[in-house]
Amino acid sequence: MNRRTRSLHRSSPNRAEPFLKYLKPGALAQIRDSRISARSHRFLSIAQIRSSPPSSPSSTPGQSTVIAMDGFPCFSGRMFGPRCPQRKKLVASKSVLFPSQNPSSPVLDAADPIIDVFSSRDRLTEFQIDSTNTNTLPASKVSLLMLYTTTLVCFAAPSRVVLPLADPDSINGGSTSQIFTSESEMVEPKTKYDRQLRIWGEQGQTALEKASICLLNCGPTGSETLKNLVLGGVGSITVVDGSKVEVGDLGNNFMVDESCVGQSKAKSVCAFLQELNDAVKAKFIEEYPEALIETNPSFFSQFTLVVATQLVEDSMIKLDRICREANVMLVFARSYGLTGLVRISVKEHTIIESKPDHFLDDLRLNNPWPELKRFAESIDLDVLDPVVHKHIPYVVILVKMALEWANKHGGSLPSTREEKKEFKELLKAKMTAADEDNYKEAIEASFKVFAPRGISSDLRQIIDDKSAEVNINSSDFWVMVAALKEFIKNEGGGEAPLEGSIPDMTSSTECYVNLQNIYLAKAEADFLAIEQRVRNILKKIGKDPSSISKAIIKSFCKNSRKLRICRYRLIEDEFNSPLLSELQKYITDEDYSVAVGFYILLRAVDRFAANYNSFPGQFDGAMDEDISRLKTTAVGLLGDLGVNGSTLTEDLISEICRYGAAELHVVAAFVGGIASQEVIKISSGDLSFSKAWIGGSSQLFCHLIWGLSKAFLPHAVVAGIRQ
Amino acid sequence: MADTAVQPSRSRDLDKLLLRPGNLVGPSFEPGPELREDLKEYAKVLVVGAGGLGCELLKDLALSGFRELEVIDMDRIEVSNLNRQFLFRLEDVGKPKAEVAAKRVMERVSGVNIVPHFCRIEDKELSFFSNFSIIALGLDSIEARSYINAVVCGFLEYDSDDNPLEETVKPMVDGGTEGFKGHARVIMPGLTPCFECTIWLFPPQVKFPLCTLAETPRTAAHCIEYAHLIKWDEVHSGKAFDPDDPKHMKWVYDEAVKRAELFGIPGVTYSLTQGVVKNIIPAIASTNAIISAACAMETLKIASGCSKTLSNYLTYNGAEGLHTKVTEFVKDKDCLVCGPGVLVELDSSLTLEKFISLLEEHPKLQLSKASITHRGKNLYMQAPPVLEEMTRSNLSQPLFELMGKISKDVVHATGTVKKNDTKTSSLRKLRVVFKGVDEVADMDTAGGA
Ligand SMILES: [Zn+2]
Repeated sequence: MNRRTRSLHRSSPNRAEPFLKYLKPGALAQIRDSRISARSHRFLSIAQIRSSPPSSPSSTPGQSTVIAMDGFPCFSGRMFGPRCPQRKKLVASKSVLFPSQNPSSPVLDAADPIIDVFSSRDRLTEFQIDSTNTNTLPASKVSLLMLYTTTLVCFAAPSRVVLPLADPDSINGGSTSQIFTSESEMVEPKTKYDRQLRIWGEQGQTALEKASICLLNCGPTGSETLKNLVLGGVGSITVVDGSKVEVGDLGNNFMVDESCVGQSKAKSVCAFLQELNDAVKAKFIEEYPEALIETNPSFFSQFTLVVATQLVEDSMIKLDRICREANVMLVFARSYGLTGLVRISVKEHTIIESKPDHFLDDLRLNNPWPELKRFAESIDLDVLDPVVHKHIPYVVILVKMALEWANKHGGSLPSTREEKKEFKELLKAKMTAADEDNYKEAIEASFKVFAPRGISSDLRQIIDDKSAEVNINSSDFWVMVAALKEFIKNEGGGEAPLEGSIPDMTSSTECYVNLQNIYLAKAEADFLAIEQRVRNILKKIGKDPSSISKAIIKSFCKNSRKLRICRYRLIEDEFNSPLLSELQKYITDEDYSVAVGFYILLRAVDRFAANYNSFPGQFDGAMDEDISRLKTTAVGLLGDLGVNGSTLTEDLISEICRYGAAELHVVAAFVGGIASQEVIKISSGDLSFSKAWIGGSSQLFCHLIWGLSKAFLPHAVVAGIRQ
Repeated sequence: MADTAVQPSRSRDLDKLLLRPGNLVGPSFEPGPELREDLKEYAKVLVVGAGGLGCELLKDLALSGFRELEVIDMDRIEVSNLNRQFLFRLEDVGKPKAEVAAKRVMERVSGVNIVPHFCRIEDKELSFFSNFSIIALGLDSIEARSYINAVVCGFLEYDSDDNPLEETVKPMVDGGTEGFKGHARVIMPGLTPCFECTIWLFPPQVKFPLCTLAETPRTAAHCIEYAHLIKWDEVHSGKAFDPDDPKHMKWVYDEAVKRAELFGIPGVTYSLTQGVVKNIIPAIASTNAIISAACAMETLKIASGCSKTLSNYLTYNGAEGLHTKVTEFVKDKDCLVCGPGVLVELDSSLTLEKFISLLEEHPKLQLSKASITHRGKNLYMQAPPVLEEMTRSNLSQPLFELMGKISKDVVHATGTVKKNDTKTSSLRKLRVVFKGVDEVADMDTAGGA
């Protein structure tokens, strides 16, 4: 072991506790909370916090009171003891930082929004500065009473949960649930799946439970992939592997133990997986996948999805063709030393509920329909009653102000920086008191007024797609797109159907509920128009007009601005005609060159194996020879691809040889984790189940040497997967 | 691909990484069988939390060459854990997570020794944490992270230039997930940002003003929180609400429904009620697996140097396509937890009152009207009046006495700093050293064990 760990190990087991007793759990969290969200002062005295009784980390107070006195805020919430002894959960820290005061990019850029937002330290710094500014304590004596509640992430199913209790298969697995029977309300049988139902909802779960998954090769990569899927409750799994468990497998695969050595690996892994969830039908086939691919291609058509792990290029290409023809979804996963890849291959994946992280809500502030306009006009912004004045919802304020602006500016909206600033100033001028949250919200949300009217270019591209010219063979998705296209041209007046929901905002209850109803009514009217068009189109192309359910059309309308389509190239095309310009660009990009290098080398090792009957570095003793052979192979590959002028570093080549085709458990767990996540996304993404995720990550090539550079390749690099 | 010459070995794959030299490795990498054996024998890893991440971490570490593991968790197994905490079965519900997790991993990976601790982390002596080479955190609570972070940063000692002594730096690896998103990070206390340095990364809790709940509810969550936080206390005077009692939850749900009907607000469901009241974070197996694997990988890299370590924060987002990003955050040099603080040398006779006025004159501090705490004890509080009165008598006493006659320790001071005519309140960490007291014992501690 290296010096560091050794010295660490030696370091004082009984060192006196120098300076930490001051810090009781939760104290700093509370500071943080107050720093960020309670509009109290940025710095709080730990001492003051400690003036109240301590509490354990599992029992945070449900309430904390910040009383500011002469610029000296102090917490006294705990004086009353915890009101709700609950664990305040957390979670992954925020990956995307959007200072709400300053939404610098309200409308997502099409290309790569997440990466864009994630990244920049600049933005992070900006956030810090912002929070400092806005958290400065108001000079007056204020008493703020704030209540904790939850960070609601995504409660996918607002309707109540109704599940078939009588499903004989799931009764053993998932029936230890609390059931309340008052007024037939809120029965919650699937306590086991509660934490995931909150993400993908009942429909997503149903879709998952219908999935029939075949795994090829059950080394750690395959086993870990299936483990996550079995836990989540997929319908059935079939494990295909022809090998026997060896001693070496015990060191990297948790699904086999010493008693399995010498037995069928497929059988051993399958038995363990079944143990995880008896609601899943698990079976195994002791057969080498390569043999099945060669001799029994029709075997694969019985599954909805195939997860192929640790296959080499030749088999990948053949399997890909088979699955594409049989319309079976395919996910490749491979772990190799500290690198790996996941590749989706599906002809077309259409998504209704893409649930993007950040999406401009559909408020039509600058393009109100008559009812909304009338409602806004019925409210007087200059009302004298201060309580009424500060409870006018910001939607009304902005609709009115946008109308006023448009009247004065020949129908156009604020567009230049000066105009936008002026618009905000007008809003500010309407405030009658400093504490009017509704006006503050209006100023913060004013960017929503500046957004262009009409549909996005993404949606334009979808309605203009060739598939939107429908015929009897068109899928439901495309039939609905065709209806959408007509709607936009006609009733929609250039807009997609209204989503129909509004965010929470400062308002009187009555006004808010009225507003909500106005949005709902318009959404319902739009839905009816689309539904009519869908039925007509179905009739016209010779399909049963009622073949698409109301619920699906409704979901389609609600999500019509967020529709997504992913199409994936054939593996063969990726291998033989890569997107050269992308490849060339990234191979010389400092950030991505390592990831691209590994991508090339992983293909080179398959060529190597085909030529020399072993992977480079697989056996000790021939390392130097393997390095030079791999180099030659890689150079040949680059030449065949048409990539010129770039070289792979010696470091990278010897690194890949060092791996010697090792399948490390942690890498397998990582790659398998990603593969299972993608499987879930594309399995629940079918049109017939409306809940879906973007399974956009068509191919991920990753390495786990985080010190080096970007660990993943952007999708476009590898292959031009999306057509 | 004949495989005849190779001796069957459990570490067949891991050996490639640990026994062979490489170019893209950590600076201290010394490959060889000795490294493999040392990892087993000397590297002792504590896994904090035996939930979604903890179960994965234990499995991953056990299959990454570590043999001495311990796990600490205060929770018992619940049904809703079973969709991701793969070491638990239905019949384990109600048993301590730490114990079942340790047992299951030991059953499957022979040779691994896992000591479970079924207790709260604060129940452990501080020396417990100093026993480990690396601490891996698989937690879902910000408070617990803060606590461990403070404990581990508390082990830090500094040289005369305020640089941390290397042997007092105990690495931490931390993971967290929420739905399809997660993060993994490496913390080298004193060298890279600690948890508190970057605490602003965590999203603030959403809070509803009480007046909204009481007067202008608009959403289903408002109705639920009204029932939970206001109505419950009105009706059940004195009886604490227990979120794990289904009857309590049902009561809150019913009240929320009534309120929602009253105001015409849609969307109150039982599931939402649970989500709001218990602050449930959605969790799935795959994200836990990914994040834990990244954490275990980093643990192995720190211990062995077999590859370059994450520097220092990885975010993972699988919600829309898949994106990862590695960000190198920088340490907050004034961090109250991992920073060295300001060194103040004092006479042991100095009174607290003098000390407070000294802080105002101190060129690095210029802290006026300071309140002082030592190890959580208020030595003097400027406000509120009730506390001021309680602590006033300390002012005339020597600080040395008030601090329990220790030759050096940390105190925290809160006061106001004047900057460009605006007063801001400021909390500072001070390393107080008393001149001429107990120097010998002092040297001992500084030298390390
Ligand atoms: Zn810090």
